Amino acid sequence: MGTLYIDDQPVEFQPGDNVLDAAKRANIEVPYFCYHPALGAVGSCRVCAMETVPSREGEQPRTVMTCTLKAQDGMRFRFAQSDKAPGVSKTMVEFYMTRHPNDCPVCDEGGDCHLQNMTVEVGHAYRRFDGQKKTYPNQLLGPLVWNTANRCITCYRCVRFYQDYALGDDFGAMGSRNNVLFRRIDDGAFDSPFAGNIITVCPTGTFTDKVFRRKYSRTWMLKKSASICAHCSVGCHVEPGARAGTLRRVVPNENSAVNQYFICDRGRYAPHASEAANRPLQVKVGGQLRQEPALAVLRQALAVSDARWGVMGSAREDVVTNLVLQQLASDLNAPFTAFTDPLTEVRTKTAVNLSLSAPSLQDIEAADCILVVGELTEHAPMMELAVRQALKQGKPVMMLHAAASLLAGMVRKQRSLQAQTQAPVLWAETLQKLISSLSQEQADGWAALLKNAKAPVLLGVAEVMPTAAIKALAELAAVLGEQARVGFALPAANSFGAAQVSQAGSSEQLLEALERGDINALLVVGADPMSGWQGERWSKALAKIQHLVVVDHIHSATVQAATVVVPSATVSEHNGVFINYEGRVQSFAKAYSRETQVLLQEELIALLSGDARARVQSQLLSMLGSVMPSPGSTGSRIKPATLPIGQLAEAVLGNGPALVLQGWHGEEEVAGFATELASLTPHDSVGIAPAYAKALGLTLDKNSRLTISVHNKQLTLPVSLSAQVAEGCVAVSRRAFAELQARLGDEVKLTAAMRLSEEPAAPSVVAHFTPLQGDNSNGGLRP
Amino acid sequence: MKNLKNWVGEITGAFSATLKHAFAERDTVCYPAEKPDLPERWRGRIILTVTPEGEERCVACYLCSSVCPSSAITIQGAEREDDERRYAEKFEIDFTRCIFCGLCEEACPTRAIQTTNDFEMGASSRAELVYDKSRLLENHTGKYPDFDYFKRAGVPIRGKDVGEGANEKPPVDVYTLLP
Ligand code: SF4
Ligand code: SF4
Ligand code: SF4
Ligand code: SF4
Ligand code: FES
Repeated sequence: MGTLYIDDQPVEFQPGDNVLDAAKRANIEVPYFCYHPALGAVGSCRVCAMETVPSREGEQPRTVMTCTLKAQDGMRFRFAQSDKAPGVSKTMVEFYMTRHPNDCPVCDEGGDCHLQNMTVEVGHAYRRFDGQKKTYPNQLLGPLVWNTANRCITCYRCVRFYQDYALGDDFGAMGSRNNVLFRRIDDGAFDSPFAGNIITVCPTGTFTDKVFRRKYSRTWMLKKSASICAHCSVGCHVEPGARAGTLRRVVPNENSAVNQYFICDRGRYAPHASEAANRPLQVKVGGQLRQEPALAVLRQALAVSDARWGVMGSAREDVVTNLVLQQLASDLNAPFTAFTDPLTEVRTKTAVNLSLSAPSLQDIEAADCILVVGELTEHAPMMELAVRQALKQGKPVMMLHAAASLLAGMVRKQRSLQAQTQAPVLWAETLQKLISSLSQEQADGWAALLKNAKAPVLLGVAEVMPTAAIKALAELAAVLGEQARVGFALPAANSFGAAQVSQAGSSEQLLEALERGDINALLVVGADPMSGWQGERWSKALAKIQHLVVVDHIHSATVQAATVVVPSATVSEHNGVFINYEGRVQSFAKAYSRETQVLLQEELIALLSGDARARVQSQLLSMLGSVMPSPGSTGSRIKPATLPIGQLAEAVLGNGPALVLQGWHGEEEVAGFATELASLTPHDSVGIAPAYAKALGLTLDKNSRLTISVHNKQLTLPVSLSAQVAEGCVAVSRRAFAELQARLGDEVKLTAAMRLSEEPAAPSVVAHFTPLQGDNSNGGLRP
Repeated sequence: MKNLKNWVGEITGAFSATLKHAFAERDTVCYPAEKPDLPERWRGRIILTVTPEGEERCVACYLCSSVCPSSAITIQGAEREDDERRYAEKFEIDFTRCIFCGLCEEACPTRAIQTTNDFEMGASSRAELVYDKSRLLENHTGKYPDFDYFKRAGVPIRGKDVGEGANEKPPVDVYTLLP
C-alpha cells in the first residue's frame, strides 16, 4: 500500500502494482496494449507513456513507460497535464494504424476492441499515411479460432500467453524483422487446451471466436450474466452472452480467487451444446411432441397411480436442484441418488471427505513442489494450467499416471517435470512406499523433493483413482504436515454438492431396487445413467420399467429411452449454486431465456409440499453455513462433516492387460453435444506402450489394429503406440468403454487384427455421442 | 371615428388578400393524381442498396440497429458459404417504429442503408409495415453509384484475396529470411 501522484491527484496502489496498474485502479484512462496483468509488462508497445516530475533541482522530466515502472510511494507523474506524453501515445497509435485495415464493420472485435478504444482515446481520427498497406496471409486454425492476420499490432500478447503462460509450443512468432506474424507451424487446430484464451488476450481482431462468428452479434447487444462453468469441478467464472434466446459466446469473467483471467477451451466451447440441433426443447410424452407447459406435464407424469418412484439427481446439476429432488423423493417415499455409478460415488465421497484443505488455483500456482496422480489435463484443465505456472518457475512437478496426458507429454521440454507411468491398481502401493521413505533419514527421489518443500501440493483425479490411492494421497499430505495441501479433481461441476445430498451407497441401492423391481418408475434430472460407467446395467434395468421421466437439456441416451422427456435449462439459462472441488460455494445467474418454454430447475420446487419446501430451505442454510453468495463473487468455502461411505469392491491386479481411460481435454457429458468442440475429438484408438506390447508378444506398428475382448464384447481399433501408457494397461476412450460395456480396470484380452492398410477402418461411433462432422481439423471453408 | 377607420381597413385588407390568393399560383397539388417533387435527400422509405457489381452492400455490422433511437431495426448476420463474406441473413425494419430520422443512413459504413424520397407506405395492418429483407433490398446503388466497401477492407472475399484491396501491398512471404 502506498500513494503516488498523477497530475497532482493522489493514487493509492497495492503491493506489486506497477504505475499503470495503479492508474487503472484510479480510473485514469492511460492507453496501453502490450501489458496484461497475467502476462506481465514487456514495455514494447510504447503507448502507456507519462512524464516524470523532477524531484530534485537540475533534473529533467523524462517520458517513461508506466507499465515497466514499479509503483513506489511518493512518485509523481504528469499525464493529462504533460505536453509530451500524450503526443508519444498518439504517435505510436498512429504508427500502428498506418497499415491497419479498414475492417471495423466486418471485424468481430469491433465494439469490444482494445485497439479501437485506444485509438479513439488518444484522438487519432484520420489516416495521414497514404502509402500502401502491408498485408499478411491468414491462417486456418481449426473450428474454434479465426485468424485475420492484417489486424495484428505485434504486441506479442498471444505468444506470451500461449508459450510463456500456457507452455504451448505449436504457435508462435514467425518471420523476421518487420515481417513478424503470429501463427502455427501448420494450418489446423491448436494443440493446447487453453488456446481460446488468445482470443481474449489479443487486443485486436486478429484472433476471434469462430463459433461466435457463425452466430455473430455485437457484444454490446448480448445479454450477459455472471455465471460458473458447468464442465468440470474447478468452477471457473464465465460470462455467457446471448441474444434472441440463443447462446452466442462464452468468455472468462475476471475474478480474484478462482480462474482469474482465463478459461479452458472446454469451458469456452462446451456451452454451445445448448444450440445443438437435437437438443430437446419441447415436452415429449410417449414419443409425441406436445405443446404443453413443462411443469404441468411433469406434475401429471408424477401423479400416475400405479408408480413406485425412484429419483435421480445429478452431479452436473446445481445444489438446490439436488436438494429439491432429495425432498421430492422423501415426499414420494422413493430412493434418491445424485450419482449414476456406485464406484464413482465412493471415489467422489472419499475425495470430498479428504478435500477440506484443498489448494485453490492460486495455491497450486504458488506451490514449490507438486505431485499429480492421474491425467489432470484431461479432467480439470484449469487446475493443470495452475500446475504449469509452478512448472514454469522450475518448481519440481511429479506425475503418476496410466494413460497419455498433455501434462506428461511436456516431460521432454520441462526439466523439472518427472512423469512415471503405472497401472492405477498399483498407485496406492507406490504412495504408501513414498510415505514410508519419507520417514527414513535419507529420503531420496520424489520423497526428498516432497520432504524439502515448504508448500507442497498433491493433486489427484478422483474418477480414475482407486479409493485406496485417494486415501493414500491424503495420508501422504498428512505425513508431510500442515504445509502440504491435497485436492482432487472431481468428476463433475457439482460433484462436491452431489456428495452432500446422497446417502452412503445411494446409487447402488437405487440400481438394485430397480433390478429387483421394487420401483417401476424413475425420475431423472440432468443425468445420463445409460451412457455412464454402469450404462449396461442401467439400460437393462430401465428397459423393464413403465415410467422413465427424464428432465435434461441434451439428447442423451437416457433421454432417447424416456417415456416422458421434459426439456430443462442449461446453466446459462437458470440460476443456481455449484460447489467446486475445494468446497467453494459459488452461485450463477441466468443470462437469458429461451424462446420456447423449458423447465427452469428452480421451478422444480413447486412440486414439493409446503413442509418439504421449508426443509429444502433449512438444509440449504445448514449446508452453506451462511448466506448465499451473490453471482460473480468467489463465495466462501464450506467444511462439511465427514460423509459416510459404503463399501465397494474395486478392481484388483490381474494377469492380463487392464483397461484404463484415455481422456481428452474437451470431453464431458454435455461437451459431447457442442458440435465444433466435439469435432476435434481424437479418433478412437487403443493406446499401448511399445515395450509392453512386445512383452505380450505383439508386433505392432502404426498401421496395426488390435481387437479388445472383454465380457463377450469385442472392439477392433487402430493402435496408438505410446510410452505414456503404463505397463499392464491399455488405454481407450470413453466411447470405447461404452461400446465394450466395460469398466475401469477391467481385464481384457488383446488379439492382433487386420492391419489398417489392408482394410480401411470405419470409425466406430456410439449412437449417443455426437458423430464427427462439420468442420474438419483443417477447419476452414476455403481450401 | 377612429373605430370606423379600423373597421373599414380590416375589411378591405382581408378582402384584398383573398382576392390576391384567388389568382395566385397554386401550392396545393392534386395528389395522388399529381406527385409532389421531393428533394433527393428527403428521408422517406428506407432501402438496402447493392454495390456497382450488384452484391449486397450490407455487411451486418449492426451499427444502424444500434444507433436507431426507436429500435426499429433487427438484424442477424451470417457468412456466405464459399468466401466468408458477411451479410445480413435477416434484416427487418419496423416502420411503425421508425421516425425517419436518418441516423441509420449516417451510421452505415458501407452506404447500404439509404433513405429515399418515397413516402407512400400506407398499409392496412401493422404487420405489413414490418419490412423484411426482401422488401428492403433494391437492385441499385442508390445515391452512391461507386462505393464498394469490401474493395477497401482488408478481409479476403471471392475475387479479392489478401493484398489485392485498394492501397494494399501483396502479402508478405512468411518463409523468407532475406532482409
Ligand atoms: S481490430 Fe479493432 S480497430 Fe482493427 S478492424 Fe478490428 S475492430 Fe477495428
Ligand atoms: S477448467 Fe473446468 S470449470 Fe474451468 S473452464 Fe475448464 S471446464 Fe470449465
Ligand atoms: S430512420 Fe431513424 S428511426 Fe428510422 S430506422 Fe433509421 S435510425 Fe431508426
Ligand atoms: S449499418 Fe449498414 S452495413 Fe451495417 S448493418 Fe446497417 S445497413 Fe448493414
Ligand atoms: S503497455 Fe506499457 S509499453 Fe506497452
